[in-house]
Amino acid sequence: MIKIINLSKYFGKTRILNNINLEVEQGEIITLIGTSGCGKSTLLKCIDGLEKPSSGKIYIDNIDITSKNTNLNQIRTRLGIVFQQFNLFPHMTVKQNITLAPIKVKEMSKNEAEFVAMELLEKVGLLDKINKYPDELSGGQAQRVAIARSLAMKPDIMLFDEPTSALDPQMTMEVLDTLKNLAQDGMTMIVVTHEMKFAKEVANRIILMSHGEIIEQNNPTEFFDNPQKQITKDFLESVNL
Amino acid sequence: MNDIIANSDLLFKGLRITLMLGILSGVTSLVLGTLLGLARYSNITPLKICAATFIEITRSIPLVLYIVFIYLTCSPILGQINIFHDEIFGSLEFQSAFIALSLFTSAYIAEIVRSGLKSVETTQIQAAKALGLNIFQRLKYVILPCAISRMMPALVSQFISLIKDTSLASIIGLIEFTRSGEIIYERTYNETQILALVALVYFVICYGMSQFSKKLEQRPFGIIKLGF
Repeated sequence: MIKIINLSKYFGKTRILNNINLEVEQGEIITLIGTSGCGKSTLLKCIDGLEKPSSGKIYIDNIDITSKNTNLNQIRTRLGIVFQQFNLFPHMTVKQNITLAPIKVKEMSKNEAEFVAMELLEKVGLLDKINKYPDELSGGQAQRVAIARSLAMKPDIMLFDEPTSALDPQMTMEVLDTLKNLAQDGMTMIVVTHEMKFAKEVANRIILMSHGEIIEQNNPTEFFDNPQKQITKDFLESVNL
Repeated sequence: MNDIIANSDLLFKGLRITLMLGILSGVTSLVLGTLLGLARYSNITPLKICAATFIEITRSIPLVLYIVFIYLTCSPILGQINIFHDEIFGSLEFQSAFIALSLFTSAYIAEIVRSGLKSVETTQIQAAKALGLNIFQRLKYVILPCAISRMMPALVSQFISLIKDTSLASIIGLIEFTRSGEIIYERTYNETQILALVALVYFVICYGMSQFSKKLEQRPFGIIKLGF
């Protein structure tokens, strides 16, 4: 579904990503872990076309999104991304936040989009907040609205960029529960996270990154119980599992 | 007091010219300034350079000089065109002042617009991109609504300046509000009363605008219709 070949990314002279190769199958749930600044978020943003790779190719269902001729906006309707800071539009109500893209990009009718919004808000348990503004929501609620906003485009793949890093433990639980439900529904997901417990429980595959490179990837049991590389061992020790 | 009543016709005419000039060049400079601001904010280098050049030159010249220069260079052309036969709009002084004030103010508005646009967080823009909105949709639904509410105080303050700056058009012989006051006290030698009255009227107009701006700040998104 996603195929990344020899992807590198530089900001000026600083190398952020170094020769990344990765394939993601439909229905897979992948967690990307690693210390801050190791390139996890940049990798995610490259997949969504928000950052342009310096070299290498990214294919989504065999469409090369790094090519100049590709309509990125079209590809983006198939990908949803949720950010650390929620990034809800402050001047719109929850309903408007969720229905904007379906109406304007997918040309859904207003009624249909509102119906979808209500369904999704019900799913994340926030139907009563439909007419609230983002500044009236708690962090956990805002993040769940952001997830609903992405889901409203009916994406095939969901990308999560540290969705719980700005939240307290209680709110983190709320958001992780939402993610677990999504996983059960069979959504293809890539989750950048520091929540090792979540990674262990939900992921099919865990990828450890360090200094812009993929160090080790494996299923959770093997990854946690039988790490191969020294960097992985050090990392797991530092997160105290 | 009698002097004021006896000359009220002249005062009203001057006030009308001031308001006309203020409103017309206000609207024009808002449109022009927004376009210039967008041009300077854009990624298109030639547009950026043209906008920046115009803005920098305009901001570095005193307004009085700007008005006189436009009057001297444009009035021969304007005289040729001669499309308005109205008493006010038809005068070369009014037309020159209108052009000068519109251009001058648009340079400042362009910078207000640009700083407003730049104040919108890149994360917001990324969120809008990620949802698949194209550049025009991003501007219309996300960037401009956020930017406009932040630009409001600076914009209103610019329009207040503009209303007062119209008085500089008297230098090319336009009899606007301040000049009409001057003419009356030159006739009557009643400087204090007349100047105080003229000042009071300016104050009422400008203070009204500033109160209006406060209302907008209290409900910054209220004025923006998203229309979807």
